[in-house]
Amino acid sequence: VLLLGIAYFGSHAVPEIQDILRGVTVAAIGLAMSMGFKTGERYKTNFTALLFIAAAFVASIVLKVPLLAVLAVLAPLAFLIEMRRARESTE
Amino acid sequence: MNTPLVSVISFFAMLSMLSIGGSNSVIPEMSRHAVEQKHWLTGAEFADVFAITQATPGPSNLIVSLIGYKVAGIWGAVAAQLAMMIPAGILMMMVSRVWLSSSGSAWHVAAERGLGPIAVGLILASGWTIAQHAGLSSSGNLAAALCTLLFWKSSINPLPIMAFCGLLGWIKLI
Repeated sequence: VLLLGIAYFGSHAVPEIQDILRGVTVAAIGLAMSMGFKTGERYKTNFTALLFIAAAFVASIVLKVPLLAVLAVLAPLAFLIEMRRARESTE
Repeated sequence: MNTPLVSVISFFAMLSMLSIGGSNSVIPEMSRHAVEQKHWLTGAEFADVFAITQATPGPSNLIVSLIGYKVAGIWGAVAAQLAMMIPAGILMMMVSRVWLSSSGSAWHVAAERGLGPIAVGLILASGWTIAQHAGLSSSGNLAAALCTLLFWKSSINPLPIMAFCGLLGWIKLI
């Protein structure tokens, strides 16, 4: 992979290579998105989880919040909500 | 003092600690830092190296090596990869003991349930980031949506599809 990468940085001005890579990128985008959907499917009836999925996405893409800040806010919040939910269900 | 090398190491070491849900969830942060802030590489190059690491065997976090290489040559590649692996590895070893022994406890379940959706949101954001950098035509965007559906709904091997899409790119259909 590293050799390919080195070859890439040496040759990526070649138009044909650009074209092929653009095609491969299309499939790679599909692969990444499908991973998100596959894992996310199990949350489709869980409103809170969907909210956190949306919040993480919007914060990173639209608001461009640094990942550290995204996690520092969302992770403890999600943890506390789940703790509370677990406590309620055992009561 | 080799400053590019130091900044590569410090950035990826930090990223390493934040990679919940694997390296595919830190792509937006990688792009924000490497493309928009440091201009280590262009958005198009970022999308290309992402595609290269997805289409080839080996761990997908090799994208880190390629970015390191662009910044500081072969030592940049080595340093970036180590920086991405070692902190997370150490953290994992420290946490996994507590984690495994606490399996089933309330906080364990809550942490898992809580972090899962955040990781999903970040993975989707990763795909989106690459799409933004790739600057696709409308046929490209359509093909990306179709690939998403295909990989989501089937368990098809992605490599032949990637090769096929490369071919479509070559003949300028996408």
